Amino acid sequence: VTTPLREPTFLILTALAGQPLHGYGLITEVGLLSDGRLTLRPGTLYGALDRLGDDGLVEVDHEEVVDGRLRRYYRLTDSGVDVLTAVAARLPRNAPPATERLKVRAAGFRARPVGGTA
Amino acid sequence: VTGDRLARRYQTLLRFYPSDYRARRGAEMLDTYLMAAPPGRRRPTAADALDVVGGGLRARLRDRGAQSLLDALPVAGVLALSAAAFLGATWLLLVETYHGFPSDGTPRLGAFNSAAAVAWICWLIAAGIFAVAPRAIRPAVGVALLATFVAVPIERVIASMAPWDVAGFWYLPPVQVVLPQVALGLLALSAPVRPGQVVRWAPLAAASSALAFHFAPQELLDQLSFFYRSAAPKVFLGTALVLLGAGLAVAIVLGLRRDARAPWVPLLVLVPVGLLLAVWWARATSDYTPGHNAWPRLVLASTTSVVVTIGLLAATVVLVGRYGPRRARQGTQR
Repeated sequence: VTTPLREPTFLILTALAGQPLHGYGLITEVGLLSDGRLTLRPGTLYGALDRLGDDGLVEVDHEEVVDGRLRRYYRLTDSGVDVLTAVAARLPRNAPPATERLKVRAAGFRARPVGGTA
Repeated sequence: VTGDRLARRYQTLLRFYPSDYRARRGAEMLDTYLMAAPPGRRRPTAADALDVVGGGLRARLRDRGAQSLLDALPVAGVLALSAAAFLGATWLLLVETYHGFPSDGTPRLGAFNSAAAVAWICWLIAAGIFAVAPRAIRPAVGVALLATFVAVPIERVIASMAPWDVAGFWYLPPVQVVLPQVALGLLALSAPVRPGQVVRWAPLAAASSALAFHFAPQELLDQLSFFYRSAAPKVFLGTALVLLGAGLAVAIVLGLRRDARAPWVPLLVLVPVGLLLAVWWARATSDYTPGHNAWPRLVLASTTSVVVTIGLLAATVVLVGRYGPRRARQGTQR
């Protein structure tokens, strides 16, 4: 029983596809990937990591202690790579028909006479 | 020293998380919060505090296998916003723009019978904002909620300025009309800020369906009446049944997709549905003889519905935690 992959989750998986990252690294990377549109906060990030861990898509890569503080790095599992590959393949496939229909829709609106459909 | 103080404050906030979760993740989360904080910050921001509280609640629900309850909130929020917009449009069309009764000297608000029209218009604006600029939906619902909260007291003040006693304030919105609207509004605060292309039009479509009253046969309108007190039971009964039906329909669709949010959607909408039914029941079983006081019945029904529906939600969380599929408590393991 699952819930659909939402944008923050997709971006977290995308961020981890390049290299293992720790919490703050993930926040920064997701911000960059979304052009600053999405700012993850730690509570949201670790909730998402918990869920991705439960689903077997993400796991701990290694831990470091920096200035006496624990820093844990995460990486994609093989299942995570498979899921991200499938979603990434679906996105470009869906984009052209959507763009095409949006063009048709825009053309239709321009052609329709102002004031009604009659 | 400033950093230590900030760290202590974050540590205090992190107590919202379960103790075993803190033991596992506390140090790591603290480090992330401190790295994300700009230099010189002395205390966590309000947004950080909300993030910790929300995250702690999610962690507690996740420990009980009920994380999907929070995931279902946006879905229930859309249904609640749709119902609130429908009720707003209904009261505007059915009561506020009806001018069939004689003026009693109470000041009116332009084309409307009472200042409550402002609250109902705010709900329609919120539905419109959800369609065209959903990122602003929470402030829009907040404004509509505030307008709904103050509608009754403001009307009482305006009515008190009438040249004579307005018997029973018969065209003014009573508290029992506002109460379910507030419950719907609180749930609507969880409406998603990035809804789908179809979903974003649902509240506006629901509000538009109230236009049916404009074209309804006169006999039906006569039965509904043009006063809040007499129309509310029938309108609330209809709205409650449709809202519950919509919640169940969404649950079935989600269930067919094996979506974990399925059972939680009807349970969440049951809270406002319960209040709508409580008002319907209290008014439907009250007689209208002079001197009859419907308040004890209303208070009893409303309180019972809130206790029962929220209790049912809490009991389900506990039962899922005890008997449902357990989540791995260790989180992301190496």
